Amino acid sequence: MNCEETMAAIIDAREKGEAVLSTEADLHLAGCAACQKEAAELRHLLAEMDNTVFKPAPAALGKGFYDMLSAEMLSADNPVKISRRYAYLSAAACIIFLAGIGFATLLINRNTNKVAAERVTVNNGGEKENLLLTHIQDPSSAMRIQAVNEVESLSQPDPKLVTVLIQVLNKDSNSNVRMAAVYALSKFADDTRVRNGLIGALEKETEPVIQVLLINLLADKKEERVTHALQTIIQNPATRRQVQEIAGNKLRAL
Amino acid sequence: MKILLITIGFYCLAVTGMAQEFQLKFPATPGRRIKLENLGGHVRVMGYAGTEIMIRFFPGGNRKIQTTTTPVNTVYALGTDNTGVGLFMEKDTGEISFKNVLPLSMAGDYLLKIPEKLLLSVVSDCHHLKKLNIVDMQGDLDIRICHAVTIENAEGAIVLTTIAGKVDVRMRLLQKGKPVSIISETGNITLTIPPDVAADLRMGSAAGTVHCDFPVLPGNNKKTLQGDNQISGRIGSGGAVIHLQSLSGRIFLQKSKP
Repeated sequence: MNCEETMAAIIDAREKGEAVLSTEADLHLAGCAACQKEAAELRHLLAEMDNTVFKPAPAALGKGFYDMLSAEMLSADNPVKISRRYAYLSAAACIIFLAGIGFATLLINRNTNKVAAERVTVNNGGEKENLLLTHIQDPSSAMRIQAVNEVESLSQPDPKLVTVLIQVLNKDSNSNVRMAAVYALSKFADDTRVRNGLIGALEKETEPVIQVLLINLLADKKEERVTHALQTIIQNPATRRQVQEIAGNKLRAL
Repeated sequence: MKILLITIGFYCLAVTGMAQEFQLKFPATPGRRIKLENLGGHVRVMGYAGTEIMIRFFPGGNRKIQTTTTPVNTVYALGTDNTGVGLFMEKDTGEISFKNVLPLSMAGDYLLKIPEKLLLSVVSDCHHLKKLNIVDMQGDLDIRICHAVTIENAEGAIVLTTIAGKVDVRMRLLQKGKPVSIISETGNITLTIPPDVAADLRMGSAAGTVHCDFPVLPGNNKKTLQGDNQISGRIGSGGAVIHLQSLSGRIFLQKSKP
């Protein structure tokens, strides 16, 4: 005999009202500590069950249940007649309800699309900035020009981007790229940082065409701090004669 | 007509045995570049739908470059001629460069046939390249020279700076994302583009005049660069970038004839 059979023997003995177990069950229990523990728990549980007091249900509960059952059986035999007016009202309510769902869905979609469009716009702005920052180191000058040109389409470029553009204007070895940077920065020339960058670039620039672009841009902005750079250009014997003439004219106009 | 005569002239020289040749397989995979540095005289580059770079050298003053039958390169003061046409070649997977090593006294003319989709970079100081002629190239062109340049049937981006001499560029195709940026200090700039293009335009000349076949509309950017003879606007709906600037030359932007 094993533990399971011993537990079953204990339950059988209780149901039969026998106080003593069979010899085999007794022998197993005597030699199995685990089974003794399990038997003790089982007997405790059975004793608890014996002590449970069952209260009878109130008579009204039973009556109420049977009344309700009779009413249901009666309604199944005689279905409720729905009036035409009630049917129309129900249909109208359904239509209004469905229309409401549709309208709400439309509004939600419209808002979602608007949010998505705004997100796309923001992402495009971010993409453009990333494009410039990535391509500004590209060995292809065409790629660098294209990247710089993209900045012009931004209404409010990131300050980091403007700094990069000023660096391009000051450091790029290709004069076409620097020219594109002047074009792009001219859009933001009212910004103090940009203005300072343009003045600094004019002091360093040696390419005549770009010198002229910078002189024109800063002179048109009535930037008086450019005076020193213009004087340097005029006095520099290496500067092209046309550039010196333009610098002189702008200096007089300031 | 002039170009045709020059080409015929080149071929006549080649037929008479004066030309020396170099040939190398270099297919135009995306981003691949050929760089020409300080090639002398008149250089004509022709794009074609092939995979090899072919260089013909036409010695100036009928002086042929001395080449040896053994694989020993000729050494000049400027470097080693490892091509037999007066050029030092360096090659890696993305770029092949040819640098002139001949002294000015031995300078001649060059005719190159290269894969049309290669990116072409031409750099020269004022002592070497006297005239540059590029035909039928689809790849981007990056040019920094000192003298005149003629480009025909171009399709890629053009970034060009020169000091003197006429710049004459005829585009077969103008593409968005492929900018055309030309600076010439003193020479006239003529850019011929298809009549149906849409482009964003910036052009000007400090002391020269600007002429344009296209109606130039105001650009989207109101705060544009102003100044003497500075024009900023768009052609059609805008798109492709055109930058043309000169100090004293005249600028012509014209429609190509169908």
